[in-house]
Amino acid sequence: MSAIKLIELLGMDGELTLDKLSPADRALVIKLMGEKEEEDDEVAPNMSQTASFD
Amino acid sequence: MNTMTIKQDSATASKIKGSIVVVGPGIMLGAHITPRSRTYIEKADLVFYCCPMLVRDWITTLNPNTRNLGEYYGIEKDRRITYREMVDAMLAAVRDGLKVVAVFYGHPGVFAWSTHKVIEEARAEGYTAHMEPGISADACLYADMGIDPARYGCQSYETSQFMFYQRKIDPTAYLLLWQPAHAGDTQIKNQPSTPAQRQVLVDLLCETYPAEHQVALYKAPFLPMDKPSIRWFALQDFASIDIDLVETLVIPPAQKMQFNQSIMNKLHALNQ
Repeated sequence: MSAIKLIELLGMDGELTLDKLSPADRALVIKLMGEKEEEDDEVAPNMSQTASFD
Repeated sequence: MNTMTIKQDSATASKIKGSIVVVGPGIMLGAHITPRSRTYIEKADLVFYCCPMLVRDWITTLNPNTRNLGEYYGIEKDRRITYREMVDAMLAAVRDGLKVVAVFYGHPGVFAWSTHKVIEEARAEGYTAHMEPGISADACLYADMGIDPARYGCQSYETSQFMFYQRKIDPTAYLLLWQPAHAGDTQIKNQPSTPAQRQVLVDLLCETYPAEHQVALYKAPFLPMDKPSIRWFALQDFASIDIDLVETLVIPPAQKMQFNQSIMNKLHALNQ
């Protein structure tokens, strides 16, 4: 299973935690989180599309 | 049948076919999306998204036909132009007769101009368009901070709008200021505000609240492994604190609610 699908599973099941994943799956998730943290330097989405300028 | 009739029929058919549904994945990846929104995404011809990178990756696993609306943002670009371009891109796909779904992070109708606008304009052109609700940051805030907005009341403003317009603050109710990292942003650019701009907000709030009033910056957990972030500090220190772009300023009530005796007398009189 891909790392993003593993994160989805963690999101869907509140009793499933990172430490309950197999070592291989846990490593996949941690690796993806690390990579995205470095890459995701974009705008905060949904940012201030409000009436402050109306 | 002449050429003009054929063209008109084609246009009519296209209008019937094209549609847009605007959905939100909620705040926590994988945890908050509704079954209905998920199905809309899976069945769409084309999915637009305006979401953090991991959410985009996840949505692509649900439907590989995606376009990133985040590409329209620019550091020095007026966000009003960005939002208009987003609407135009989504509408163009609807006019092409596609079953379009737009995914905007959190609740798609909260802090999102483009989503309401695209629905308004698509409907005006005769297309089917609607929004599905999603879990927004305020829903997470109430849960994580144990706040019932009905207990003392709750005022909620985008921070810059709160500063630009004359508001009547009720210090007996909660005050939520969204996106305080952009406090006083008159440029509508995509940059955080300066400590000096945030000090203007502090001065404004100190007209109503004591400078030492304890306030909090809240950030909802984005990943299932994350915990809510709640940072308490004195209001007077707000300008000097580093703020995350997605944090919310929570100002608890500073005064007790005052009974409205004249209204109560009128109501009691009605009961007699």
